[in-house]
Amino acid sequence: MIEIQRNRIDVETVVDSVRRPDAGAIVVFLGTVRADPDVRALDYEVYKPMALRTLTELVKRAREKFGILELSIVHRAGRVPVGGVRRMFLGHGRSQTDRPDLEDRGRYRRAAPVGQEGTPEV
Amino acid sequence: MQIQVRLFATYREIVGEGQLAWTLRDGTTVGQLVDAIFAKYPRLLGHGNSMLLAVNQEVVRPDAVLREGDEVALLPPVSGGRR
Repeated sequence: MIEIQRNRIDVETVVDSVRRPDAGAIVVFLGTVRADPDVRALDYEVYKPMALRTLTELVKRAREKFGILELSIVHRAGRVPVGGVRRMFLGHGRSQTDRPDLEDRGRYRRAAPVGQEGTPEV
Repeated sequence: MQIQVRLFATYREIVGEGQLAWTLRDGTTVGQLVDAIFAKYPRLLGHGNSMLLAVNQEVVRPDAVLREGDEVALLPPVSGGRR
């Protein structure tokens, strides 16, 4: 599952999208909007076709590099309030030795055309 | 030839539209297109250094040559957290 959506992310639905009987763990990462000074929300604007294409490529690379069985990435678009889930990564390792760093923040930010702007406190 | 220009976030706000149709001579590069856009919308000039350029959803260098029907995207830098 690779999606960019304006609606709230349903965590259980995304977890279900990577479940499979031959995997022994699901790694979950939830990125949330932090209450930095003067920020009460982040506005995400997305060039959707390019973002989906880039995320698809990231998933392919992560599968090859870390031996992940299933991987889902869901990102919010539009306004996400402080505390809201903005991004979700999920992956399965084949064994306990597979511990992929799914939140490879620098690479993700460089690669995916998803921009964020702080919304100041009024 | 005719191409489409997509603008996002700050760039869209400055130009007032998210999409522009642009007519160019054959052989025009992305960099030359951006210069033409800057000439028409000078308020974009201050953002030129950090602009990311994509053609048909692939990031390109300014010397990439455009073709009929291309979709050029001007993307602001992706901002991140402070910590």
